[in-house]
Amino acid sequence: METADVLIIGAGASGSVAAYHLAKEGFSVVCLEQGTWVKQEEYPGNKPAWEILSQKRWHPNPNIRELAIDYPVNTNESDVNALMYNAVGGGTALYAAQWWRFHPSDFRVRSLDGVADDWPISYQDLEPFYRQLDIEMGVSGLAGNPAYPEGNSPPLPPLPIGQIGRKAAEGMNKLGWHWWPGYNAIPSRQYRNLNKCARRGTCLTGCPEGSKASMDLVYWPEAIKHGAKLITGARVREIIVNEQGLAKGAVYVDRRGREHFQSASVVIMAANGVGTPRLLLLSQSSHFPDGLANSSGLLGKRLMMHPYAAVVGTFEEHLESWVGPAGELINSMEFYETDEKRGFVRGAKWNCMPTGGPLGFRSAYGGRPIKESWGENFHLNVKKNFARSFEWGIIAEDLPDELNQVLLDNELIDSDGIAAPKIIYKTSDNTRKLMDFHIDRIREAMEASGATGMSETRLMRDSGWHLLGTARMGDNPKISVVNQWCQSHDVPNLYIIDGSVFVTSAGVNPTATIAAIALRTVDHLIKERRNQEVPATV
Amino acid sequence: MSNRFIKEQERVILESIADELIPAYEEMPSAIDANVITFWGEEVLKLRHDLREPFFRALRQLKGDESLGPQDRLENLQRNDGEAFNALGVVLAGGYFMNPDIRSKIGYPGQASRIDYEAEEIPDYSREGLLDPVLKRGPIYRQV
Repeated sequence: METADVLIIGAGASGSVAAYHLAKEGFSVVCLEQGTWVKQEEYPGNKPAWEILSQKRWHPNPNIRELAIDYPVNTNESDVNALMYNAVGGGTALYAAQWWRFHPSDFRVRSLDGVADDWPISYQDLEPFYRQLDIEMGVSGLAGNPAYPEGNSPPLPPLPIGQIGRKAAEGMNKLGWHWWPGYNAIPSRQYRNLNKCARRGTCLTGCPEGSKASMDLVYWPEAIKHGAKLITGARVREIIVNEQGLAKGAVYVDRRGREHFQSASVVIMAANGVGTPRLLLLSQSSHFPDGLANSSGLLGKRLMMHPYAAVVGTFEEHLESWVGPAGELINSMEFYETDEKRGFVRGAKWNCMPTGGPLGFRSAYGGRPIKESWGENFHLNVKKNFARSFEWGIIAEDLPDELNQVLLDNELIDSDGIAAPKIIYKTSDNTRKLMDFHIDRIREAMEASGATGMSETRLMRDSGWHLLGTARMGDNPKISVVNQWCQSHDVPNLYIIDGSVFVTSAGVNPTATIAAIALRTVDHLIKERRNQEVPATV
Repeated sequence: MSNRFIKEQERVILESIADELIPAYEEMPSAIDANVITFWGEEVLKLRHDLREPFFRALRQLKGDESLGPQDRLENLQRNDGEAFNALGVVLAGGYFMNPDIRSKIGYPGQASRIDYEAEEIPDYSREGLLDPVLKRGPIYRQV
């Protein structure tokens, strides 16, 4: 197999951005992705069985989904389950496509709030890349949000907020609280090869309309046109280094169980905040007995997962609660920035979301007494709740803690016999106080909107979509894994560009920032290509 | 008939408890009358292989308690085997809500396509000034 200029591990959010931009600049790129392409017609959102299929085949938790290409994750010691999807496009196949920039304060948590750490980069460093990605992804939203500095101007108009967005906004206005139309990487009109959003509200199980900006649609066709080679069904089991300690390629297993070696001058890890540390921990050698690029001892540590809480309010009026996007209809940053008077630091962004079909209300079949959920009440609950509700959910910023981590499990393996990851994750006192505060505020907002009933989920176990922090960025090699260019301190031709590099998690959806960091990294790689240290022979 | 999941004897068991779970009520038919047992439940089992084992385990346990009334049989099942009770519930309710007549009665068109909007038009919330209080407050982000 020919040596590639760049080998990318993972065809998800960050890997896709990197593959396209590097291939466009003439690099020979090979990307190894353990999943496959998902055809648009496979997505269940336009089928009557959508809710039934969402509970298993299209569930975001690999331990529930149990597809052949999923690997198990031991979450026995975690408050939150890790969610992910292995495919071309990675997690963007099933993401909500809420597209959020970090805020300037998110990069300065230590300086401002005396906890965690500052990033080695700033909002200003990422701003040009956020802007470029808004255009590449076709982001819909409204400029002028007072929760941001000037310049956050999505190229497409916001998607309709629907009856539930309006109901939520009216409540916020009564309280004098911030709200804004949703930011979604979902086009509000035909945009390049993406279709206009049809508001089906099935974004979280994949978009059957070809609207949602998943990376398989936005980047891969163009990356391949520019010569990038995408090998699917390729499960990487180890990154190999040479005698000088430089990465020289990856060993992977194809779907027939055969092993291959792909050599490269530069290796880029883009396998998400669980997959990347897992693979690097598996890549031990005499140079790196504790895992590749782990001289700091921080690989796998400081896992952050954005624990999610939600309140569903029900109303007298019919609100067509199933209409999307899902996505977000509106959001609020009222309680985002730190106010120490609250008894905790940092905050959370709220997103207003639709509540789906009639079966979704019945998620607690087994738990409640039969008389409460069944019999006449089966019908009364539908009459009262279905189509008359919306959800306010919170993306809570959790702080980095070295005890929260990704390890290699002692026993669990994937279908290729490779050690599976185990995650240890406990919410902190600060996180719990933060979440309790926000739930109480949401309840006030729901009341202000006129809710006649509410149900809350204080900590949603299946909410670990955002896998962050496990190969943190920093200037000091003793306390970080990569530098500000996502280049490993230990291995100059190894880069990590996924959410692993996050220093802090912010309280907003991370995909826009993951993509912006990836884009900034490859921009730097391209400009510095002549100075890049690579193996003499691979 | 032989390639149905739910065989004749099992149908009898289901019919003996179905009205406890999804009875007729006002304009809404029972699960039996909505053809959940004869058709829609089959559709669910076709799509969800993971439900089959616990679903049939539920039926076996319900048969074992035949001497009791339907309410007691279901309460026993829920208490002794929550997974099986859940599977039974998903098959019945899931099948019920897949029935287009039921959907029509509850006013659910499915996650239907709605492209009849013009994003370029000024949204009503802007025209009506719903964002004005937000804009009037000015910046709320923390300066760095």
